Amino acid sequence: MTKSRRLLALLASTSMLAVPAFAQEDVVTIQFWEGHSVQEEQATIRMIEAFEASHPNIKVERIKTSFGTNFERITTAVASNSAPDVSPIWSGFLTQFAEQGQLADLTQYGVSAEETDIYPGAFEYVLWNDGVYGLPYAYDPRFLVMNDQAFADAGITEPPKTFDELITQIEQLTVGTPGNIERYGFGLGGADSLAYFFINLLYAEGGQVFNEDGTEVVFNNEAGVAAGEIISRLAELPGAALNAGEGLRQNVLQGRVAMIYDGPWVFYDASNDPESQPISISRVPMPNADDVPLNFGSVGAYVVYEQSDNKEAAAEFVKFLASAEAQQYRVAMLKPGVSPGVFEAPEAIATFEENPGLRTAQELLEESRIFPRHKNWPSVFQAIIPAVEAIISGEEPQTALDNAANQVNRTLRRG
Amino acid sequence: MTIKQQQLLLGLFFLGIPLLWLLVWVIAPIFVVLYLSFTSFNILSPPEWVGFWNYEDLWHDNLYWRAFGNTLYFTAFAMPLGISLSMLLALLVNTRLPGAWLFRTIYYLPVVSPLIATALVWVLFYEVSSGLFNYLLNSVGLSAQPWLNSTTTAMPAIIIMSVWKSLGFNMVIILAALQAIPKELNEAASLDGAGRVRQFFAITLPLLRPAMTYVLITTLIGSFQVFSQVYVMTEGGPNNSTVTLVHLIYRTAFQNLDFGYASAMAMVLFIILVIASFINLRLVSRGNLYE
Repeated sequence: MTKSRRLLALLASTSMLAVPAFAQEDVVTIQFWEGHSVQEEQATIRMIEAFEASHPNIKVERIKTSFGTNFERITTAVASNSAPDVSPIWSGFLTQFAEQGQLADLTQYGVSAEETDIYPGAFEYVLWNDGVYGLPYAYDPRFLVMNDQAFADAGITEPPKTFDELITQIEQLTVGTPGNIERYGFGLGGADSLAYFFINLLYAEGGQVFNEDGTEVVFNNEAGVAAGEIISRLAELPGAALNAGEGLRQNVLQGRVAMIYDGPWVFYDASNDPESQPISISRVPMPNADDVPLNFGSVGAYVVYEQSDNKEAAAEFVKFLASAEAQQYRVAMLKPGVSPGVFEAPEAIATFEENPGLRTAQELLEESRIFPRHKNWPSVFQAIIPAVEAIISGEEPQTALDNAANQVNRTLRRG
Repeated sequence: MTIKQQQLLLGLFFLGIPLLWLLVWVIAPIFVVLYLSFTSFNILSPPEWVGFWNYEDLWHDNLYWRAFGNTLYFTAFAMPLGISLSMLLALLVNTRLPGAWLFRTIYYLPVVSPLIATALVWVLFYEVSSGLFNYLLNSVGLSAQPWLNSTTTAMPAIIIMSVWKSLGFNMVIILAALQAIPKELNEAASLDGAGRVRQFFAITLPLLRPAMTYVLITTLIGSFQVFSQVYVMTEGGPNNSTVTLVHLIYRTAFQNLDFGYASAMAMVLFIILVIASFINLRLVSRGNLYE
């Protein structure tokens, strides 16, 4: 082999090695922490597979974190400059992190501040100071879950539309006598549900949690007290099991409770409970029959951290997760999607056909509203729970709400 | 280097490792928390010096005093109940009866079980409609209790679970101390006509004092630091009836991201524990053991 041929061969072999090396460099790996339940995790895995198939140059490294300690981990990671590229975030943390400059504004990566493919209620959560600091991945409405057999037994054909009707129906649905109830007419369980139920009623009464500039809470005003009084009236009913723990979902599925205030988790539980009876879904009653319907919905978003080295790829991933294409996998796992486009997505269509209750839940998102985006929302939430518990225990709504408001306002004054 | 110098160097080396560990992970964080307690700090941005503001705020914080009261309530019941039951168990298993080792193992099992897991199991025990305790109450004709859902029963429910969980640990400490008591003392007392109760109060209990000092101080600190069972079983509810100091510190720091204020709370708890431990030490370890 001549010298020039040898050189040519060397160049050729080097270039052959260089081609895959270059292609490999083009692949970006983003780190994604997710602290979801088993149900959501299954949907997330399918979303990642679909994303990687449509974006061959981006790989997603999924790291499972514990749901309970999700925020401790994220907060400490952000503080120590070791945050992932993408993670879920919820409650007041999005505003808090955005305010501290820790989240990437996705408008730089093609996300419009006037997003139309996501429910407005959910999209509102990620907006802060003219920027878009994440995209919603979960929007879970709250509604009434009714055991069909219990309603049939009581001869009730329509769900309650007003609070007065709710109270009348609870009395009709209750089977047994005080102290020996065989079937409760209504159940409200878990600390979080108490707070959400109150917020739902507060919104229905036309109230707000914070004042205009967010410097004080006003949930103890007229609307808040009216909401508190509804809870008071419910607490007086022997057939209403309020603050009854976490087992209520199974109880409504098995007919021991006729109706509960719950969210879309009930569909997954129903599908896994062999003794489950048929259920129906209805919006939360309003003060008057002709009021515009309004449901509470909780929201979670995926965010891209400012310290990420792969913000563009991470933003692509977050955009995909909020799309109808990805959200159909969420519907397939019996949770509503954040995009109204899921009504047209094949997997979601099939799931809705099998599960009309889930379809109703999805439809309720149009009229749902989230918790305030205030950075101090966690403190407010923590104060509302004991206030509602105090009302259930017989304390005057005004007193209980005033105490809670004083506690929160003291925190707000701290800044 | 002489042998003495080598021994000194070796001694310093082996002493230095735990000292360094203590300095980095225990003593230094105390000073960091002390500093942070004078700042406004949300962990995401640098701390800002605010002087005594956090402490002033703490003084007027009703929730903090509620948590303080709940922690005292927990300590006042969990500590004496836990120690007396541990003592009773230690006395019962301190026998040469066949199978005593089995009971020692059984009583110690809760100690080695993870607290979070056991707390979750106890939540199921306390469940209103299908829990074990209400099943037992119903089976003897008593009405079901709302256990974790009532402001009256939630804290006692947590106390019962906590006592059960820590029983075995204190039992082992007391058992070891019991077995170290010379048998001759009891034999001599018996010959002098002392009954078993008299022997217990005149001989056993005084000689258990060093072990009891340890048990009292560690149980006191543990009781003031009660957290996991509250976090898992009630999250401080209902109506803040089970919110405790450490649970409130956790909530303030990690849920409200108010690390400065949480540090002030932690410093107050630290001072309380130092004072209580000091008083405890002075009261229990006073006097000569064999006087």
